[in-house]
Amino acid sequence: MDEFDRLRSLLLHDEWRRLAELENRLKDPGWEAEKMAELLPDALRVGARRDRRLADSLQQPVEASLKVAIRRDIQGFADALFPVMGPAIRKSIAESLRGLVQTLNHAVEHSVSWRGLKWRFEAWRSGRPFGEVVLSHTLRFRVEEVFLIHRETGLLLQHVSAEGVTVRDSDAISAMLNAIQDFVRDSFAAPESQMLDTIEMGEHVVWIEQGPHAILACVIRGIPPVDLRAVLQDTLEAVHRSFRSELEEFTGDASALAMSRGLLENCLRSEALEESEGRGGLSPAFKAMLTLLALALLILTGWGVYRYLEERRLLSYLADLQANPGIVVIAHGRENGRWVVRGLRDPLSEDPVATARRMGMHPDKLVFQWTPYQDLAPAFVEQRARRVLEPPATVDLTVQDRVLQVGGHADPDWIDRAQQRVPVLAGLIGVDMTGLMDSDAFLLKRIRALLTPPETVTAQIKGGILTLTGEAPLNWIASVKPRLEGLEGLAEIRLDQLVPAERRQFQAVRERVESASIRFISDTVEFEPGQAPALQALTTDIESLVSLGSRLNLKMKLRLIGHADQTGSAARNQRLRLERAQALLSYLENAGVDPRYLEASAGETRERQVTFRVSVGDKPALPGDGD
Amino acid sequence: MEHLRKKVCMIGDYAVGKTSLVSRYVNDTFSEKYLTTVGVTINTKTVMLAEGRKVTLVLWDIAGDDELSALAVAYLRGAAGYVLVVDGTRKTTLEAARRLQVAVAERLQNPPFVALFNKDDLLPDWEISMDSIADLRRQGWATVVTSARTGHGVEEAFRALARRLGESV
Repeated sequence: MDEFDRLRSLLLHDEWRRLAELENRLKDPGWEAEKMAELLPDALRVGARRDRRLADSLQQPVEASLKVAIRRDIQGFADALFPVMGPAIRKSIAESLRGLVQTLNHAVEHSVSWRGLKWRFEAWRSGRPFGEVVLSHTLRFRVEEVFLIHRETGLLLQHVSAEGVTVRDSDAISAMLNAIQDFVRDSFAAPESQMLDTIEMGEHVVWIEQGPHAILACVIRGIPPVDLRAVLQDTLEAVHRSFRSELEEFTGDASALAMSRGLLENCLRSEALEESEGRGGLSPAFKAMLTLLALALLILTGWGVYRYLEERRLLSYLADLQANPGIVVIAHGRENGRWVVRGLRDPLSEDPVATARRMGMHPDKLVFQWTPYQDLAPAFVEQRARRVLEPPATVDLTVQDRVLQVGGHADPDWIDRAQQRVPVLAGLIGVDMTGLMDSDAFLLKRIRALLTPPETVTAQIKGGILTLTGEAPLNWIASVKPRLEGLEGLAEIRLDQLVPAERRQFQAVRERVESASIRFISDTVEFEPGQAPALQALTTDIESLVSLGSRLNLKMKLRLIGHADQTGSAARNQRLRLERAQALLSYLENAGVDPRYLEASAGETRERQVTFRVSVGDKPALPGDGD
Repeated sequence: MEHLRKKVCMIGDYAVGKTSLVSRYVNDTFSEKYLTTVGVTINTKTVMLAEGRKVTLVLWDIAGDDELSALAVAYLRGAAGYVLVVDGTRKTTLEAARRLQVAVAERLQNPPFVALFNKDDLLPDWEISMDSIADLRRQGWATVVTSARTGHGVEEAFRALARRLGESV
């Protein structure tokens, strides 16, 4: 050992010894641990109180040791944590479920309302979930009252209410809330830790938050947002922090907690949303679009209705058109803004345009596409026949059972032409012209009907000139002209060939009379006996002559010619002739014959008789007229 | 002004007249139907004490029973004091009251109470003697004879209770 070292050991011998002792002690693990164990608790306490350094430095080791411990004895940990975890997990699940249910409730409630649809659209548009949109729109609530209640006694610590809220006995209410908690807990045999946290009643909901010493109960009108709970919880925690000792020592005097009013009033929140505005609600652009949509819909509907009515009108027009003979409507449609009608049309049918006008349809809006056809209805066939035959007015054309009946009368030229032109028309199986007369024949028929001529008369018409020949009574002849007065088609009546029937009669009687004779007794003016019938007949005949003659307008004279035979003197006989004639004249006169017509004269024959001679004057002598 | 609030419970056997006692002198906030449904009905009564002190008694009228049910125990929690009601015409109600008093004293650390002997108006029918009441008084019970029907003694009873509560604060 050198001097320096020796000096050191001398000077510091004790200290060295003590150092060495200490060294040894330190090296001794048992001693270390014991000492440490003694110091550690206090050290920790001091460290914790002093600052966070201890906590920070312990963090890692503690974490590591926990991990080791867990790994080593999982079950033990699980068992230890179970009582805590269970309720915590349940509570968290319940909270999230409740939140979900609330969301679902809102969603379902609003899914089919108009508002709901609006919100659905918004959700789709903005990409947010529907539930979120609903929530953002239904925030409409008001915290009306806040009760701060002492947990143990149920006594009211503080009470605040929103403006306009009528306050009933808040002491009794807060006590009752407490009582209800107890009652419910007791009824459901729930442990003390569980509590009633929501009471829902129609428009109101009471939210209750429980702290170790006080309970916060809020009466809320409407649907409060979920985050209000957090506000209540924070408020309660703040109350507990600020008034811990007052709460712990509370026995009935709430004046110490008067300052908590501020905290409670913070809970008197409300949120009323107007319909027209809202958080993330309808933007003006959206509303404008909606209005446009509605307008567009209205216009569309209006146009649709208009179209529908128009189509209805068209259909009724088409029905009418269809009802017209000769028109068959097949289809209708719309092309280029106009109605197009397709079908078949007989050219002889009524013009559809005229029909349209009549029905108030605008012809400009209609386009017709007609395929011509021939309607075989009798009316149409008739019309076509008319066109071909060009009948005069006096001819009737009708179609019956597909046969063209031609009746009436026409001049023979037309009849000829018609017969040549007899049409072969579709729809006809034949032509019947039997009812057709030529005009002359027709006229003749009519005349006959009018005159009813006797069989002895022949009537003939040619070119409108009627010639009557034959014999007919005078009065009938006289009636001809009057009867045929004004007859159409009759140009002239020729009667000159018509012989009055009376003429013949006259002639016959004349001949009879002229061939008659009355005999006398010889040399007397007395009639021979047995002449009575002859005289009778004579008288009758003479009367007939007279009447016939006057009717015939003949100037007639009957000469009574007396005759005598050769016996006696010539002079006497001459005298006798005249006397006999005069005697007969007197006789006739007495018989009633007009003497003006009678003339007595002497004749030249050698018979005892009177003969007769009729002379007719003033009229051209008829053949056979005597001297 | 000092304004205290005190929770006071009213207990007693069936039909001793607890509710009738309370009804005329309190704010009728909750009807007695709660008695049969929830088992308690709550009313408040504010009493003026000396020195300008005001006490609001929150009265918990607990449904009648001769035993203390678990629910009743819950209701009793935190009570500053209680009122024991006895029906003078039925001796059994006094025994019930005694039992209840013991139970309450055990569970709630012996809070102050007042014993009301009700149905004063039927005094001739009473089964409980005045002597037994005096006995109880000697044992330290605060006793008041009351009649809910006439109202006799009711105000006095609540004032006595309030005083007892005030003293214990």
